Amino acid sequence: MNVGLLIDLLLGLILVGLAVQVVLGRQLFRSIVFYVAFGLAMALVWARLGAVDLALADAALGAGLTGALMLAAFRRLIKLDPAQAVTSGSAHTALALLIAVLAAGMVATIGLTAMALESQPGAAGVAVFEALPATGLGNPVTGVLLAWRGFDTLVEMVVLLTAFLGARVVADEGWAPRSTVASFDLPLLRTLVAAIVPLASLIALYLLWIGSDQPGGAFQAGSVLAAAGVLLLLTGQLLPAPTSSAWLRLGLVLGVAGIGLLVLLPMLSGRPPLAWLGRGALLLAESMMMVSIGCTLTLMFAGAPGLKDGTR
Amino acid sequence: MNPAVYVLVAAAIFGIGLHGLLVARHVMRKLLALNLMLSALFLLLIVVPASIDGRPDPVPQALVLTGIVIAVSTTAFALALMVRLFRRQGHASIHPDLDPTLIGQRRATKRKEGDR
Amino acid sequence: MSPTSALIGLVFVPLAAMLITFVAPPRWRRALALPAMLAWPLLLLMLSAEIARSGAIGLVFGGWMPPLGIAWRLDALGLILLWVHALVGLAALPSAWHRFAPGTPGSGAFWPLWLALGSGINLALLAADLFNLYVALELITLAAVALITIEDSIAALGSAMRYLLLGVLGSLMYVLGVGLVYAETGSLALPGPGAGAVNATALVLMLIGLMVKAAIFPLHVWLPGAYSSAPGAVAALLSAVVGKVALVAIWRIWFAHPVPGAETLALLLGLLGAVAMFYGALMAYLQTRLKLVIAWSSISQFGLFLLLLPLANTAAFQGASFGLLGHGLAKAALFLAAANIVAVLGSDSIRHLPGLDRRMPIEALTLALAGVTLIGLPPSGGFTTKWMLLQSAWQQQGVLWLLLIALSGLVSAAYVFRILALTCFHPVCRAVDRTHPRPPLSVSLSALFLALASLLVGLYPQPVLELLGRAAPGVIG
Repeated sequence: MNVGLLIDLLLGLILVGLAVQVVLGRQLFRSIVFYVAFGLAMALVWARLGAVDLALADAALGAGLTGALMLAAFRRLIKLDPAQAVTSGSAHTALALLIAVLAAGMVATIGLTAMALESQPGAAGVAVFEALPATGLGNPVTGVLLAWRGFDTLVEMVVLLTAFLGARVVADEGWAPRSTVASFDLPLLRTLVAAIVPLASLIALYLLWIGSDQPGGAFQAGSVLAAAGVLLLLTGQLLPAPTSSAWLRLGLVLGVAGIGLLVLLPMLSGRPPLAWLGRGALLLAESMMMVSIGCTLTLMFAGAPGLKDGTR
Repeated sequence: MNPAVYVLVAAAIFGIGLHGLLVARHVMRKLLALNLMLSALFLLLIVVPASIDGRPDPVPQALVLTGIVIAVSTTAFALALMVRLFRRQGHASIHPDLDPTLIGQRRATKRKEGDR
Repeated sequence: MSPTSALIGLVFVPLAAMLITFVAPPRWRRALALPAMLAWPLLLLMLSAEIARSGAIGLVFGGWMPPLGIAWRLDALGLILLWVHALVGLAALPSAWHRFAPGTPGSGAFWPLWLALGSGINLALLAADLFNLYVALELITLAAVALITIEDSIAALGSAMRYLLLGVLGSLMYVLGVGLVYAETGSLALPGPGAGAVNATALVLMLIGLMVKAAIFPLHVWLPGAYSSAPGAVAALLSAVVGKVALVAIWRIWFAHPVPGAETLALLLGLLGAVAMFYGALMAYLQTRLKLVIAWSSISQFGLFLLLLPLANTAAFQGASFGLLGHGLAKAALFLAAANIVAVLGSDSIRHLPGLDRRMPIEALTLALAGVTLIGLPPSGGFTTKWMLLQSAWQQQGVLWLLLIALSGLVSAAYVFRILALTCFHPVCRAVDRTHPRPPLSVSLSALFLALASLLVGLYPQPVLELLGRAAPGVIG
């Protein structure tokens, strides 16, 4: 038994164990925390499988920001009704267990059969590697996201914006935003925030820059920015505001506009797309996306249409 | 790297998530369960396609990345909807008679779907 | 303007308008949305001429051919639904204009969301790539749920949550299917190569996912609540187009991926459609709220359209596709009229319907005309649909299908006549003690216009049928 198999088995066991902890139990908070841990374990698995872009993205978005959003929602529920912390009995039956086991069996069979039957690597992937050198990019995933399947990325950004709009529609006006950490007078906290936020911004810019050749890119960078935003909100440096400025809204649509132009201009101009898709253009579109992603996720965490300075 | 292990892991997580979805009454538990199922499927999507000359296939990675962003967006919206629903009806559960994903104690009433 | 630019415009014009309306201050959003909503249907005129000439228009992003890049394809089937979308969108405009004036709750978010939904629908009809279709469907579901939640009643919020949860489940199935297709064939293009054990599983998974979105029995449970609690304009668009987008995707994917054992599966799916037809009609008959009758009627009709799968020949294709047109227009008309009835009478309970022909004659007429299309009486669009489907069953000696299609008209007649009998020739209902002020006349007239259109398309169906006939080989192979 080689080390690789041991590592895979260990990671697998950790994942399954964490997943079980998420669905078991009656404490909602516990489930959320275990979900965050699950997301981090998934990031390890992605890294093990060689999908480092995914590892970064899942750690930041899937574990980190999803966890933050869930905790924020949980907090709102608790404030409205403290009894929500413990969810009332689930409806366990043998039928549900049977269905779950059957489904798991089916998925396993499907997956193993698919792996056994495939005869050659994906034609699309092969084509990507062949076309990659012409673009001057080093990271094939970035190429796929921004160039060859750029339209999917455009729609994905629109989905993000639409989700934000939807969250605005159902926004809980009755919840009066207050600073969530009363003791942000602690000197240590202030210093920590003063150190972390610029560092996070630097990391975000780095991820953005490096994404052209190494794992990274707009989504990872944007989520690190959003994490900085969440930190500012948690420590009261930023506060939710009841109205949004047009500038902020412009920032939210910047990402869609950026990738939209990237997709549209080559189509309309008639010139070959690679003439448009130089590294500079890609970086520009990606930075616009980074700004939008960061702003949108921060605002969704705040549960408000706008933000205002909390230090005054 | 042993893909077969991860296929089994993905299947297990999918089953666990599905069970969680089917028995949970609280909406947030359902969302947690759905996210588990999504993660399991994404794992399958990466593990099953063959690698290309030793390098992992970038197309499924891009697809899963898109999927993760869409999942986060949908979850964020669903959470906000849940809070709103809670505010209006006092609890964050869907009535067992109306819950299409609940396989469990369903009270046997004669109420027709949607007829309230 | 070239056809490809027009195709691009179909998606990018609503999208750009969404961004503009979002950034603009809320009181300008309604006005800013208007030009885009009027502009993109104009593109359809040019595209129709092109389709009539050459049959289909294709577009490849960046010149990168699939499987590397993404392709779009517009054929006659997509064109028909685009027309339904355009007509219903225009007809719903007076209702939305009035209901979501600046200052009313939810109006700020309505216009960007409405445009996002429109853009997503157009994209889903153009997509020739499985994953592009997936993201389009996600956009549609999310925008639709958000639009339903504007209503802010417990019923609306609960229905929206159920729609969202089931929608995510459906997407899960669909994505798994897409992943399997990629693992097997290395390509995401649609139509793609078929045949193989994995692909049969992938096909079934994708179909299940899409059946959730198309509300095919038994995965229909989200529809009655969602359609009946949505605002009028939203319900009109949902019923006329959104469910049908998933249905069209089912057709396309089914015929593009022939698998061994397809005949048995097609038979099973056809029978499922038949069950949906009768179950939906029965539930429609039993409802006590007008909007729920209309919603259950949709479930019944979707069952009828699923019969294309076992009946796969040109006549069936023509009939079912034509049905999307007639049924879509009629449904939208019904929901718009129902919204007006609720606005004036305060509720859509059928106990309040007697005397409608005197109190709200335009709405009563709309209900009658649209009902005629639903039943399939000549000369409506519904009749053309039934006629072509019957012809198809006759050509294949499918006695079972012949019987089912004929019966479907009967069961639809049951619930339609029940409603019409209540609205007409009765003394004015005394259960309603006071009526609210009427919405503007344009709102009522637009609903009537849609109902008339659903009839008129049946009067002169030949051009459309011919167009569909030429497109049939491209879809059903």
